[in-house]
Amino acid sequence: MKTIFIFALIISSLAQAQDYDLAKIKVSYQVKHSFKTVDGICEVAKCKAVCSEKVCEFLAAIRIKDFKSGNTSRDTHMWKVTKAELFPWVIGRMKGKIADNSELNLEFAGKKRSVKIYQVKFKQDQGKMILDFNFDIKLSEFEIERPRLLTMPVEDRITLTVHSEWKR
Amino acid sequence: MQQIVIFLIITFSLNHVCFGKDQLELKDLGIKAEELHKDEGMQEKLDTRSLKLQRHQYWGVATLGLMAATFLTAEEAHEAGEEAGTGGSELHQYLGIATAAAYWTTFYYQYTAPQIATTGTEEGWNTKLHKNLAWVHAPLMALTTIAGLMAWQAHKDGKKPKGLAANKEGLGQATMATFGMAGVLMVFEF
Repeated sequence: MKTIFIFALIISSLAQAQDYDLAKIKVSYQVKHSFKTVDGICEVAKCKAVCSEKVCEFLAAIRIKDFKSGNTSRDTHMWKVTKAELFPWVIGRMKGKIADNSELNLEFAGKKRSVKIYQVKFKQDQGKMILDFNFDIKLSEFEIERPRLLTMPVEDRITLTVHSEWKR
Repeated sequence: MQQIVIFLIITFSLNHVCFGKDQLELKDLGIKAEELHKDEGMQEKLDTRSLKLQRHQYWGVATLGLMAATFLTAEEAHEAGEEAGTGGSELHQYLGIATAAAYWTTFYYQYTAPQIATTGTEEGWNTKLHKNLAWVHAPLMALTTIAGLMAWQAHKDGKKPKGLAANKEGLGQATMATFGMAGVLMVFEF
C-alpha cells in the first residue's frame, strides 16, 4: 500500500513539471535610422520550456544568420557588427513567473546582459502554450558598433518582438 | 524508515518542480558542438567586406559631389573653350579628372569587397537595381571621360568639338542621373 502511495506521489509530483516543445516562433527586430526603418525576422529557433503550475523556465537559441531583413548586403553587415562568426547564437533564458518586467537573460555578441520584457501575453491551455512579449536592447550595452548610413548611425535602442507557440 | 524515504522523495520532487534545480542547458536544445564553432577567418572576411562597402559608400557620395561641381562649371568651360587656342576652363577640366578618379575608386571598393554566401534571402529589389545601374553608368562614365578629353583637345587645337566630343554634356548628365539614382536607392527605403 505504501509502495503504491510513494509511486503515486512521485508521478503526481513529476506531472506538475511539464516539458514544452516549440511549435512556432517569430522573432523580429526593428532598427531605426533617420532615413529608414528596417525590420528583420527570424522564424527558426531551438527552444525548450519546462513549466510547473505557475513557474516556467525557457531556454531559446537563435542563430544570428537566421534573421533576414530582405536585403543580403544589410544582413551580411549585421553579421559583421554582431560578430556572428565568433558568436553564432543569441541565447535567451527566462525563469520564474512570466509577466511584464520579468527578466530575460541574453547572451548576444559575446556579452551577457539582462533585459526586462513587456507587453507579455502568456496563455497555457490543454497542453498548449502561447507566449508573446517585447523587449528592448541597446547596441552599446552589447558593445556592438552601430551600423552607419552616410556617416549617421542607427538608433542605439532596438525593439524585439517575440511570438511563440508551444506544445507538450 | 519508510517515513524518512517518503519525506526525502517529497522533498526531492518539490525541489525539482518548484526550484528547477536542473537548469536547461544548450545540449537540451540539441545544439551540436560544431554549431558553436567560431570561424575567425570568416569574421575577418566579413570585416573586410563591410569596410570596403563603407568606403564604396563614401567615395560614391564624393563622386556625386564632384560630378555636380563639374556640371556647374561646364558653362564657364564652354565659354572659355570658344576662345581659340585654349583648352577651356582649367577648373572644369580638373574637376572632370577628379570625378573620373573618384568614380573608379568607388567601383574598385565595390568590386574588391569579398563576396559572402547567403542562404534563404533574396537581395532586395533596390540593391539589385543599384547593381544593375552600374551597367549603365559605368559605360557612360567611360564615354564622358573620353568625350571630355576629345573636347579639350579640340578646343586646344582651336576647333569646334565634333561627334562624341560634341555630346559630352548630354553624356555627363546621363551619367550623373543614373549614378545619383543608384545612390538614392541605397539611402532610402521605397
